Amino acid sequence: MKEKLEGLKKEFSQELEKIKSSADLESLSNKYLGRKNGSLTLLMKEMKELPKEKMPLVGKLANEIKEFLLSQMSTAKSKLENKNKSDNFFDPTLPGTEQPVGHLHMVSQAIREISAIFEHIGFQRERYPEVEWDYYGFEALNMPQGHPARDEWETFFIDREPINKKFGQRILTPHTSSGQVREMEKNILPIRMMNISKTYRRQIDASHSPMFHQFEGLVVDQDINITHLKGTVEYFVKRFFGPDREIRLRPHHFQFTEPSFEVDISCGVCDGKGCKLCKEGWLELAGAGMVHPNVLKAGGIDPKVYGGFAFGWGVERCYMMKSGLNIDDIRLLYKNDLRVINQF
Amino acid sequence: MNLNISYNWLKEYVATKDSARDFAKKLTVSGPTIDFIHELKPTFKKVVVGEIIKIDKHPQADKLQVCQVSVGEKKPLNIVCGASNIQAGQKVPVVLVGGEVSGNEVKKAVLRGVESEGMMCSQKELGLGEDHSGIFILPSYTKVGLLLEKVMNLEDSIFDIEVTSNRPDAMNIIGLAREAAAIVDAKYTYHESKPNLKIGQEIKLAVSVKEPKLCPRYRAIVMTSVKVESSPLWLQARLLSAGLRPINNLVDITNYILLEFGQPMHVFDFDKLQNQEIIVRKSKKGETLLALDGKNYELVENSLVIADGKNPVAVAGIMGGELSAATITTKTIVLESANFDQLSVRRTARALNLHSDSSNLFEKGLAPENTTPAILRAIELVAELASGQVASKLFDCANYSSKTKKIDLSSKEVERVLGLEIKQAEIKSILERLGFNVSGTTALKVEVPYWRDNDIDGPHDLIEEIARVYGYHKLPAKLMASELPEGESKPEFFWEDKTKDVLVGLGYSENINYSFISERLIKNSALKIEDHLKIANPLSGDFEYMRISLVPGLLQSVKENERMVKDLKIFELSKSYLNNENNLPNEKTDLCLARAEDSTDKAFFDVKGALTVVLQKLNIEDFALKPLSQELPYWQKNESAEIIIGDNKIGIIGTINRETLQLFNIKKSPALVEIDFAKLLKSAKDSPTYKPIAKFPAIDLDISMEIAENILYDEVVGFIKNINDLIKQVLFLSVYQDQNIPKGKKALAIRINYRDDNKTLELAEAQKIHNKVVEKLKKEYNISIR
Repeated sequence: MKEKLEGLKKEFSQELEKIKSSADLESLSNKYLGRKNGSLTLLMKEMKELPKEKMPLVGKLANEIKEFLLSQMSTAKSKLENKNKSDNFFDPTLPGTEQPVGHLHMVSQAIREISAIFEHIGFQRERYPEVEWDYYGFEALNMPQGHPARDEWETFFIDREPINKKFGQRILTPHTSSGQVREMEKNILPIRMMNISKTYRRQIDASHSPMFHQFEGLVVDQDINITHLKGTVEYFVKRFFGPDREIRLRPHHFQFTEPSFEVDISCGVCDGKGCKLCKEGWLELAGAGMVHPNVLKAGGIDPKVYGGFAFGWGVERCYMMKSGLNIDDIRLLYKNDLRVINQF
Repeated sequence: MNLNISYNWLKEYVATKDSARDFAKKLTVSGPTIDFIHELKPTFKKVVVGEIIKIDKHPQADKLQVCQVSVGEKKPLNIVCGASNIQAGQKVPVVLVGGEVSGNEVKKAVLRGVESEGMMCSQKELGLGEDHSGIFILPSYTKVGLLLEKVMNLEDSIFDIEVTSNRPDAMNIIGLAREAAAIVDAKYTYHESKPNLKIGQEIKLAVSVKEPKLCPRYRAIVMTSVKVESSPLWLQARLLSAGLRPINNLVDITNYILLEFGQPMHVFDFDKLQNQEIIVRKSKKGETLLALDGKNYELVENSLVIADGKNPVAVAGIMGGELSAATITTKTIVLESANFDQLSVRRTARALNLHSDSSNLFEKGLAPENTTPAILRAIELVAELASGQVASKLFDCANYSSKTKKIDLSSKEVERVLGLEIKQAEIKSILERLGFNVSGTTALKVEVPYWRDNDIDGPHDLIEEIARVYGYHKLPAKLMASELPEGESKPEFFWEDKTKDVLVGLGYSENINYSFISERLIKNSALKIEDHLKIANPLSGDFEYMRISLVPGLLQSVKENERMVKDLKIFELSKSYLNNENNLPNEKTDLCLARAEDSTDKAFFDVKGALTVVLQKLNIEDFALKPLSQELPYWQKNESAEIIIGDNKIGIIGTINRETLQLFNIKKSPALVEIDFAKLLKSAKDSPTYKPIAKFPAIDLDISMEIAENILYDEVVGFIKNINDLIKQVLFLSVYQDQNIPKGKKALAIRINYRDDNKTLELAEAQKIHNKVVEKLKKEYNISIR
């Protein structure tokens, strides 16, 4: 019986080789596994005549062979189908099925990139009022009432006259720096704060939107000096704009920092040689400086013990400088035309 | 403030041999920024000084003249000219035949029958200035026949230079030269003028300052026998290099002093002053002044003016009056060099909306000491260029403290801010080059020069001076080595990012609208104007209020996009500003979704689907919708519902009422979700609850019923779930109404999922419960099985 079974397997394998069509496969299947006359079916019927002690061994073999036949035929079937399919013409250049695609606003993408970079060096994101007291927007930042430096911000006011004895009028924050003294007032030191927020100025033309975004970093600790400001700015610039870009600090003046700088980055177009886009190889990025002792005092921090630095830059401007996006009218960003948004 | 500064002029005071470019680089990294260098080269060729000898009418043309112009040759040139400002005897620039002006070659030509051998030109044609009103008339003493570029010294580099507002002392040639000399470490040579102050024929003038606080110093002098005419070309060239238009020698001298010393000056015609008096006082009610700009100003009461015996003749530090101004016939003048309080000038200039170079400088704070070198130089120039003679003493009404500010500075402090040790000798040298007096050895005592009195207050200011001149580029760049601050980042940022990502994944695009809203949009949305925070100085009606809801902005966006984009899905996650009387508004973060479709049903259930996914991704397992029980702005009441998680109402989902849609001119049917994001976050969880996979198979049995249309699906589901513990889920299959369904009813099909957690559930048992469910539904809701 065992020999018969082995012989059947061998015979089957030889015949399988010759199969050319599904019809061939069908008749092969009938020949061996047909319910009435299939040769394996018949053999298995014959097995019932065997002595009891031989049954388990032979039975197992018979089942194994049946499994073998079935799996071989199934493989052969797939091969045949595949062959049939490859005869059909298939055009892979037809468009894919449309998927729902949403888009993050360009400014949100920029904010994510920026905050991720600063998060790596320990800056924690905070949030402060956008409608703010004059006190936090100007006065506490070393710009008392009537100070001409206030003119540099085209500020929106809520109230024409002061409505609070200490805090003055309500304004729309013209810069993220209004968060500085609020952070210091929490009385938790050291500070490594990042404030990314909407800011507002009374300017509207192709390069100014009355609402835009700034990101502000503030560090207050003992033993903080200019080299740390330089290091932090460089860390950001190299990660955001690319490792080849250099920075330069240029003296400037802000009431709330001393010394104050403007940060330039080397031009990515001419590699710092000087071209139409830049000034002698440098592009003006934004302002920074060491926190003015009067600002620390306003925040209840002793400037003799603690020092710090701060920077506050435009999100849109940085992103456009980075990507070389040639958006000729910044106001487009807030018109919410999906034909624009959906490009990002 | 940006200034145009001539490098040649600077070099009169700074001994440097640097190229303009090198000089600009050094200045930029340590001092004022030089934005651009404009190389000045004559734009013309073969232009010489000529003298008009004779002018005749053109025989053929009324508007043309035929001039005989001598250019130093034997025979004068015959030139046809159309300008009306020329007279015989004047000196003018002449382009010779073969020369070039404004890029055009000048050729011999015949104009309406008369030969013309050259061309006379205007300032603008020569590229020297903006004046194109007539021929550029040169001073009478200019020598005929010389090349114009030689006379005017035109080879120069002009720096476009930005001086920060705290440094008015450097907004002029002398101050910049002082600054530059310190930075490039070159010799600074400046000598105060020493004009002859001997009085010839004395003319009486009374000068008094009634407001010493607002006018710390007033210096003046009377000069007579002045001859008003054109300034010499070197002076004109200097004014032109700074972008100023030469007028006559007196006006040009005051402008020259402004450029060189940064000290505003004024010239009065002495004979037009009533009672030979100058009084610095506050204006009285009703006083007016016809200013030099030709406009009549009603003076704000109590603003500072310069007056004669009767009337104001100038708004102090801002602008002089037309009636007392020097003219071509003026013989005797009063030269004024004064100092005015910066806040007072600023207030008055703003009140009158009148700003001048003079007020811009005074507003930044000038040193009273600066009046002296300026007026001495002016006296010298008036004598030299306008033959003026001194006719009074040099008045000096001084009411300020000239005490020198002293600051202690230790080199330790310098090191603390710079993070680098700088040798004391170097600190001393830098400060001294900048004009500070330094004494002491360990702790330095630093005396502040008068011109820096306004911006140097303490050691931190000195440290900046040292750092910038030393050079920021020499400092290393390091990251902070100190400990990280305690605390963790705010979870709201994480959830906001996650929510945005989920929505983007669902095909929603993010909008960022202005925080502002117009009155029109508020009204269109049926919101109340008085609930909004109003901006006192908006840019326009579009930006007049702060929004209290994101919905109007998104509806506006639906309107803008609905025709352009199919499948319109948008969202905004941002702040709105709830008005608080006399306090800061409550700034609340909202999440708003909008979906526009052709049918309200499709829009509603699509946006509800999106909401469901968002909540799932925030690990919020369950939420309920409760139909609105009252009218709310912009929502369509019968198609809107409150979104409830647990016991908290977190927002609203629904369609927009037809009137609002019409006002927004929206054609499609949008459905929106508006959520208070902070309330939502109270239910958000960091991770989902894990439920083990069921061990035993479940059985699904369906019911298709007719039920009253006003019975909520949610209610039916809740009812069924309460019937038996083996009911694990109720799934929605379909709902519809048509002519085959009785009025007031709907056809609802559901699938009930039965499962036993402890054994394999037999069909018979499930069917038994299912039958019970049907019975109960019949009893409770009077359903009929279809």
